[in-house]
Amino acid sequence: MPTVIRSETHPEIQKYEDVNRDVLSILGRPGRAYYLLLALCIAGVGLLAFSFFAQVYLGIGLAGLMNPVMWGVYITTFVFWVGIAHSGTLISAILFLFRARWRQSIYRAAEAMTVFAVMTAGLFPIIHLGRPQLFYWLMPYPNQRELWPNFTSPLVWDVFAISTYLIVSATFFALGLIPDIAAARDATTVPWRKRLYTVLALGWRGSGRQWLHFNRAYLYLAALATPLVISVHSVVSWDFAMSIVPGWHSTIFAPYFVAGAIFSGLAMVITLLIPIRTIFGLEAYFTPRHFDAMSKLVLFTGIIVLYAYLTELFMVWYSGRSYKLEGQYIIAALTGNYWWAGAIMLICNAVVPQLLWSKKIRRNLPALFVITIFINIGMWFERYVIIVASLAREYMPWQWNVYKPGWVEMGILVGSFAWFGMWFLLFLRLLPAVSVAELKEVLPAPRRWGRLRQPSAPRDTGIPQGPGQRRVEDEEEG
Amino acid sequence: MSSNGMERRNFLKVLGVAGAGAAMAGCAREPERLIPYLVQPEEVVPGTSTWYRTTCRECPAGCGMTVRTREGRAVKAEGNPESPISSGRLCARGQASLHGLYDPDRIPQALAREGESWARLSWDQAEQQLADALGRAGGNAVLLSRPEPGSMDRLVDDWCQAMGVRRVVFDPFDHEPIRAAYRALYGRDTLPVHDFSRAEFVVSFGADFMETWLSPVQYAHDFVQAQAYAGGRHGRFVSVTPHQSLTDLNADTWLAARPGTEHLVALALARLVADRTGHAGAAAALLEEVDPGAYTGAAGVSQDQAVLVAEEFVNGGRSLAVGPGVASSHAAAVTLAVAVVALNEAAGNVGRTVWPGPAGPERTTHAGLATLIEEMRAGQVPALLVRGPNPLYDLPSADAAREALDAVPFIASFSPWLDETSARAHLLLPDHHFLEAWGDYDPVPGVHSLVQPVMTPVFQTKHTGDVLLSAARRGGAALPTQAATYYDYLREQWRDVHGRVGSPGQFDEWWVTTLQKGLVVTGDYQQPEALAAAAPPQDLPLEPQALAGDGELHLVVYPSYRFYDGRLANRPWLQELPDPVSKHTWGTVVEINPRTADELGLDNGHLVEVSTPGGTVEVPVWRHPGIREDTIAIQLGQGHEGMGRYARDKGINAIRLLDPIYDPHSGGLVRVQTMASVVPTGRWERQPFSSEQLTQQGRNIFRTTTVAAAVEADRRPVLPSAPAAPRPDPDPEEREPGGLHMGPPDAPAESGYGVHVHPNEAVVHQLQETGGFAPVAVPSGPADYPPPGTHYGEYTEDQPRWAMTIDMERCIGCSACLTACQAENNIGMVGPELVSQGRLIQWLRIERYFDLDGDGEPEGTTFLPMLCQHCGNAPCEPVCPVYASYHTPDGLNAQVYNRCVGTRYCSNNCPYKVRYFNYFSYDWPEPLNWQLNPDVSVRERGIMEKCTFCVQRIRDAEHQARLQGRPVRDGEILPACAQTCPGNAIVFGNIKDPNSRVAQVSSSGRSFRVLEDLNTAPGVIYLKKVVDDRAGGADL
Repeated sequence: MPTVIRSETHPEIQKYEDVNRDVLSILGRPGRAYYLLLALCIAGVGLLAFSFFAQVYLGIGLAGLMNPVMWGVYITTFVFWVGIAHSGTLISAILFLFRARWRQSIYRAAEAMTVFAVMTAGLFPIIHLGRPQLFYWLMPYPNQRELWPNFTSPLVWDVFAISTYLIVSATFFALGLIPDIAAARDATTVPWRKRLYTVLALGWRGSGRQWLHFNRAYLYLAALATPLVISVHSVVSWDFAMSIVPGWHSTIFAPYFVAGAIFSGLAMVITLLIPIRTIFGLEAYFTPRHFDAMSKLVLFTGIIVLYAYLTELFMVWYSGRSYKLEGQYIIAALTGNYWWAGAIMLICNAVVPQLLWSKKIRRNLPALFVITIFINIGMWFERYVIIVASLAREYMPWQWNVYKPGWVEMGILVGSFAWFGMWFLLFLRLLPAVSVAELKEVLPAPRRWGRLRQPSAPRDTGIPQGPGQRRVEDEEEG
Repeated sequence: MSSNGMERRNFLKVLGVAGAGAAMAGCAREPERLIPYLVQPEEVVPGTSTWYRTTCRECPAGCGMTVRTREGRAVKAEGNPESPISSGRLCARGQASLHGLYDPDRIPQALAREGESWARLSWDQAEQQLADALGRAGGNAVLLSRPEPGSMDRLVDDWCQAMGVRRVVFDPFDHEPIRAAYRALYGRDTLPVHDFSRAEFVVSFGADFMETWLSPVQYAHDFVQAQAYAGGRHGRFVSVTPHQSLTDLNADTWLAARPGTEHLVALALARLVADRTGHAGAAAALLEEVDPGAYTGAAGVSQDQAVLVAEEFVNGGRSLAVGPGVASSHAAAVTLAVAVVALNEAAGNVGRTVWPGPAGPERTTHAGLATLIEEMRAGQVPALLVRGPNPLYDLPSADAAREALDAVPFIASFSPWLDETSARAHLLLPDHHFLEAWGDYDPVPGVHSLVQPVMTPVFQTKHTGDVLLSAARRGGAALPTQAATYYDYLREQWRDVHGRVGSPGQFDEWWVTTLQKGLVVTGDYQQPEALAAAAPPQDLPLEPQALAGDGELHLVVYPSYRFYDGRLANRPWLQELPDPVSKHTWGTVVEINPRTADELGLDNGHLVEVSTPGGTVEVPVWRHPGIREDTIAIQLGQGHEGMGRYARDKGINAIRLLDPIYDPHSGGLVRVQTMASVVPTGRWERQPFSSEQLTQQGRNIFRTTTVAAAVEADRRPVLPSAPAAPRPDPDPEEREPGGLHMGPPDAPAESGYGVHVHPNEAVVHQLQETGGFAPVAVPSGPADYPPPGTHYGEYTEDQPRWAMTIDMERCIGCSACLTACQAENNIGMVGPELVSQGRLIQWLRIERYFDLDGDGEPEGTTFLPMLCQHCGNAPCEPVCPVYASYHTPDGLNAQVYNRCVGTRYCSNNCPYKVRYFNYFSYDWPEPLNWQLNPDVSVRERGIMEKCTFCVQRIRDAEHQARLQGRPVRDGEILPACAQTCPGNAIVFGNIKDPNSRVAQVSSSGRSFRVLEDLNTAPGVIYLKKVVDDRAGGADL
């Protein structure tokens, strides 16, 4: 019975060289499909730019916004992308601190997603402004008027929350990349890549001293980023909860939004990883075990979201349907003009995720792909229902109205996905999409003799027992 | 020092500004060139307003007007407080008269037709052409004009006589049935004079006296004066009509008589009243035949209600019956007019609240105009001069009128703008707008009102009086005047007035003071004349009028509050003013009872074909709870084919549905004449309603009370500074459905602290005592929350707290305030498409809420003027990230336009939804932009705006007061809405001053604030509408 040392999480990968080869090969010459996809995304970004310039040139009236629905698709999509941005930091920081064993291969892609999602989300507060050229007035900067922004406004909190999150998550992302970029720098022969990686690798040579500093820095940044996972979306939720709009003014909003954000963010990670795994042949890196673990988290946060829905319903019932609560989005979602959006929200967020109770489905990647897309659609509509349905029926019956998005809003919504996709595609080709260095931590360390000897009984010494390794009987693999 | 040219410092300044300007030129709009006066005009002080008194000529009422001009341009029209007609108020039409002055579609100069186009003429050439044409006509020419009592009528009459021109005086709303009745009963061709200010019980038979009927501003003002709750008394108004217009929505009781039967109700009431008073008068024989039971039954009105109305009419204080109006001019309208006189006679009202006016000059009726049109068709009219009437639009038989005009070889029009008729003229002699012209107008006996130009003419127009004088000179006709210009003629005429008034002193001095006053009121104004009526004619139709046509629904057409007979349709302010009842803008709707609409499967915005024997129109539906199920109604005034850009192709002209049927008794057009069929087309279009909401959805936003409850509430002292009595338990019906207390805001709870202690100090003291815990003795409950003295927010001692009270009992929903606000504050007009998309900008809106019972029957209507509440704890302020929305020390919720970046969060967080966003930049085509108020910024796209309490007026008054070294006087500051309100519903002032009027009014037991439980501490205090609760009040 020969026994080999296998990684617990990545049993198919045996050698450090395999990792380098597989991961860095993604950076090689892309296929035609990649360029097609990239062209599609760039066209989508063109649509975004065109819609935005049309709106700037002709007026924000091109959007469907009206009295009383002054926020619509733009803020919905803003919240959606901020939510997407959550899972990256969750996976890279929180799971790092909790020493979750399955994060190593997926965290890079999730972090990249975070950075790009924040970059996408950050567009919307500017796009939605009546006078977007003056967006910088929301920042505290020294000016002749000696005027600060209004620090009581949740929108100013937003500015700080989002910009902090962008800076920290981008730094975290760039820091984690350093050893891998160094590997890419050493491997590549393309001159411009060499130059690029040389700069980004910050002179990484892999010395023990550098590793020491790197690990410390990574730990501290992880600790710094962790509260942001909670704070960013809490602050975004306060945009709503701090107001007196009947469907918004709710103390449950912060946990509800954070859970929803992790829910949608993890769903988005799954949605992105499944095609990448197939296209780039990374089956050994993203194993069903990873998807299973993420699906459990999706299920868990999904149940929190469901609980929030039920709480809202309870509040409406418990209040005796006072008109202030009658406007609750949940009621509007079920009965009002936006019942269809509410139905999409409930089916996608409350019903469909229940399929994940089944382990078979959690490990069935095509099914997961479909379910997570449903969840993302559902989460977009959740924000749409909260924002639009609440505003459409507020205190004054005289000013009730029905909002329909304008074409610029739809163009910018579609364009935002293209913008995100464009960055993600560029990322895949420019930077190692899987963490080479961290993955090696969970692989059996290479041995001096090149490959494992196959003794009948393993020797007790000489094989380092890394944290992610165990002895596996060959038979068990069958 | 500055004699040696430019200093270095100035040079650098100029250089910096010029450099920055050059750099900015690329991104900013091209700046207009500003050219300063070379020679300063003597009377124009830049930055200072000049006010001129004149007379509104937009409808025959003739309200006194004061026009504010800045730098030589008229910017705002207001009422003339000296005028008994307007009492300083104006309606929306009067407010919008500036849009007539600056109408971009006005005819710029004299034009002559050349084929399909127009050739420019000098006035010399034009007058010569006119004189030549009149010479060719050889005494058969016709001058078609509106009645213009005063010097103009005299000049036109003299001129017509001298030139051998036949004068035809026609006005579409000339109330021919009333004139016919008064001819028969009093032997005078006249209209009645009413004194609504003394009428505590009013019955109207389709007379829209708050909208267009005779003198709407005066009547509305007097009506509110007499009827609104005051000191325990509350008037009552019963409206007998199949269809509720704005006036009828103000009625306490609506008797929905079938169309064509209003005269039966009037006769039944007259009989019932005469039975009770014994004064049947000359109508005794007529009333003898009346069977009240059968008559009310035929009208579909309950006899019991009629009896109750009759009893109140006799016993309920001074009463007044009015009618008929345009909406009730059916074939028996003369009978109705006679019955109304009989009713007033029986109750002894003649000589008290109504009396006949003096005989006036002869008018031409609709039938008379039809005869003229026949003559024109027969080629008997070689020349036609038109000044005012628009027969191609006003008459049902447009084809006949068109043929007739085509048969006239020479048509000259004095219209200032192109309309259907003047577009067919051969010679256009555009008159001045009345704000550019000299003139006078005698609206009612005893009032001589002057019209004076408030600015130099916008275009190269010429006063018709001058044109006539010149034409007479050129034609060699001898006029009985030597005046060279109309101004001279006017002064000549006013020498007579001067003599009649018996005013001492020189005419010139008197003339100047009269111009400053705007009018002269002589002794015979409002002198009641108790004149006995003759017996009514024998041949009056007494049966219910069955309407012709084979449709299922009675068609009622009624005049438009906004456009009068349609002459004002090219005023964008009026087009964008939501109709006070339907809240529809920029078009026409057909009003259908919701139940009938349900049967036909129709919702608001469904397009239907309305067909009558006269024609077919396609028009969107509005479901009106205040109309009989068997009746539909369409407003007149829209559907212009040949007017300016704002009127063209907006809505339909309902007169086209009628056949030219004239009442043989009066010669008037029978407007309620036909049944109509309504066929759904299956198409639906989103309509430009400002709101389609009918009710307040049970939300207790506005509140009503009863007379008894109001009296009780007034006993309680409620001034925040006064020691408060314990709050009585609020009425159960005043409680929120959800259980939240929404009682009146007054009566601060007893907190155990002296009310003079600043609440914060008291709380701090208490906290110290209790070791940092909140005092348990502080009364709980949202209504008790604002501690004494902080009802309207917390302000420092030396600052005023500007506040407003709006008495819903005095608001008739006429929306004049809304147009005044548009005019004062440079609010953009967004157009029909954006209105239907919900982008209407109106800082002040009149929310019209029906009170519907379980069956959807209207039990009453409340008008809630909703504007920025200037909250003491404004929800919009903390959420603005850039301080564009901030609180001024004197309680204004300010919006800094230049600071606004357009996040729109403030609007989301405003529970009243009174903030309006500029989705686009809106245009004022030249010369409409001349009207813009220089004291108020014009907002650009991307900016939030809202009511400012007319902050420019507040600051102006404060500056004036400071210059004169005195405090601002109470009542000195009048926001535009308060200024023009005919019902005087709005009071503005410093609520911290207990002696101010606003503080006094707000201490009424009826006061409440909207959504007060949100703790917004609004600065707008509403007074509950009083619902009638006297015996039978529920039914009556």
